[in-house]
Amino acid sequence: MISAGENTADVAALAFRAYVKDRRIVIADASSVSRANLAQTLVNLGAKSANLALSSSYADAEAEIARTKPQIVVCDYDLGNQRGLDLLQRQRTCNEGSKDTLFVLVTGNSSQTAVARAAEEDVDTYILKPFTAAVLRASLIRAALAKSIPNEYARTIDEGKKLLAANQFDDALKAFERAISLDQAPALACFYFGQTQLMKQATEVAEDSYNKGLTYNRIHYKCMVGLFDLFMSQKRHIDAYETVKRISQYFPANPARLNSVLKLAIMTQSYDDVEKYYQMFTKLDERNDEIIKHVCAALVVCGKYYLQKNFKSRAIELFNKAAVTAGGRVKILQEIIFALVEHKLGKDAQVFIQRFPPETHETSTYLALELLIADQLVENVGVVLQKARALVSQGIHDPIISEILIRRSVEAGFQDTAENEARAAAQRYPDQKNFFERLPRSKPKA
Amino acid sequence: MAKNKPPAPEFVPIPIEALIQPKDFKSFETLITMKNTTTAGELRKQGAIQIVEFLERGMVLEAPTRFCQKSHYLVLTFETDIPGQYEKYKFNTGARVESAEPTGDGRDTVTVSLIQTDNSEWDRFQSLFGNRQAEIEGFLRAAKGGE
Repeated sequence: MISAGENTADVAALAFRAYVKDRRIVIADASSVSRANLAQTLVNLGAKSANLALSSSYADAEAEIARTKPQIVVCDYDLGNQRGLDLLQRQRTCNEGSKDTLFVLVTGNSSQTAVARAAEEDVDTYILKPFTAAVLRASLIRAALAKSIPNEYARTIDEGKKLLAANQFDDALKAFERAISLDQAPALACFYFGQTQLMKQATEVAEDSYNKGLTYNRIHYKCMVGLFDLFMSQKRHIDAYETVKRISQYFPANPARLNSVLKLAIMTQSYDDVEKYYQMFTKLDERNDEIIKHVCAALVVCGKYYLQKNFKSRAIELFNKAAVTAGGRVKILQEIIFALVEHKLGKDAQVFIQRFPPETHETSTYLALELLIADQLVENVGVVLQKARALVSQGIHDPIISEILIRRSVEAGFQDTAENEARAAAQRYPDQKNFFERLPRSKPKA
Repeated sequence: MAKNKPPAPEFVPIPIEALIQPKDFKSFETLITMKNTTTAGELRKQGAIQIVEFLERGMVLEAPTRFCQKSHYLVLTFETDIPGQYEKYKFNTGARVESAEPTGDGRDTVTVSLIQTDNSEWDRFQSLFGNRQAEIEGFLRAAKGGE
């Protein structure tokens, strides 16, 4: 005798069989054993072997997706040096307009950062390796049926989204209101209700609606992002900062968002936060290149702030942290040197120029910065001029070199040289033409 | 029937320290040691052997080709490093190779059945992954909220 539970499972399995039987599928996994195992499971669930394409690398999977336009992609989170998750956009592009495509991650990566990124990208399901056949089957079936046979709540939201896309705001609102009444925790319907209110410029109602969604579900990604975007558009930086911190807490390590956290920390003058953030960052074993750049940039901005407030040692401490973290990144070191020279701290700048990697020592950027520091530290105008001319005669050009050459020529009474160099610089750097044309006639720096 | 408006969510300010948790960046890592008691060979290298699937009383492993063959007896040791937990979880078991099929790229699909296994330890080992799977599904459901 079939029990009620078994009956439901059988019905779901049959529905999945109907869903999968004519669909094209790409399985991307570096492990041949996993590929074979997943393929066999899908065939057992009703997929046709002829519709399956197996890829062992990201590039291969990308080519297969372009060629076969699969409705179903099953892939590992990590595919060599690339993220299998990035194949999702490829699949969406190939199947534009299709609503029942399926993107499934089957991976040994159990980290919260990977899971959160998958949630942000709206993957259909995430299956952890090693799995049991029952978990794999149930997860695939659940994800597919949610797409192919949506419940009334999902259907009503979809209807509202269509109305929203057609700018029929009032009808869309009615649909989303109806959806809200159809679910115990209708955070998604609240989000779309808020989005529609936002389109109608009803920002207060939109904010209420996102907040309402979050009362049902504190980690609802779209509601949190909706709220954050709203606060940013209203320049409510303190609220935006709290919201982006909340998002980052649940959805960690998204470089773009961490950048927002750091930017908002600075905009809200929460400079201590930047330092704390740096402390946490140093504890990480793996540091993503983008996060390194953002952290360094934030430390430099904080350092500049402390320089303005005349807290020199604090600023130098932050610059040191940025320089160490930057690991020879020229732009970060350049920013630090500019800030120090601007505050007449040429001797400190000398310490930082030593951090430039040896292979950069012949570049115009490095040589220009060296001259910039010398310009501040060397009292003899003739010596500075000689250095600047030597660089130009070697064909090394940089706006800094031109500026110093012009300014120092004027100071030494070589007005013609200054005028000639100003004309050359104005031609070489057209975006700074006005600056260079005026420079020979401007007052010497104190 | 109109629902009552829920109260506004009460959020406590998030300390910046909460934003980067080193454990969030870490995945489960399992070091698998395979001793082949039939051939006296031993394999112990991170990543050399992978568990692909749990079976009811066994598992499907991916291993270097020809390390074991059908009917060989193995001793398997699993040491799983779980993010945020100080101690590694260890599980040892005997196993018999039911099949070892080459996949053509220097790897074999090895299906083993467990022998001389402490059932509660086996259940506990599987539940490490099963519990994390349940957490992941719960998180996805909440984050997406019915999309």
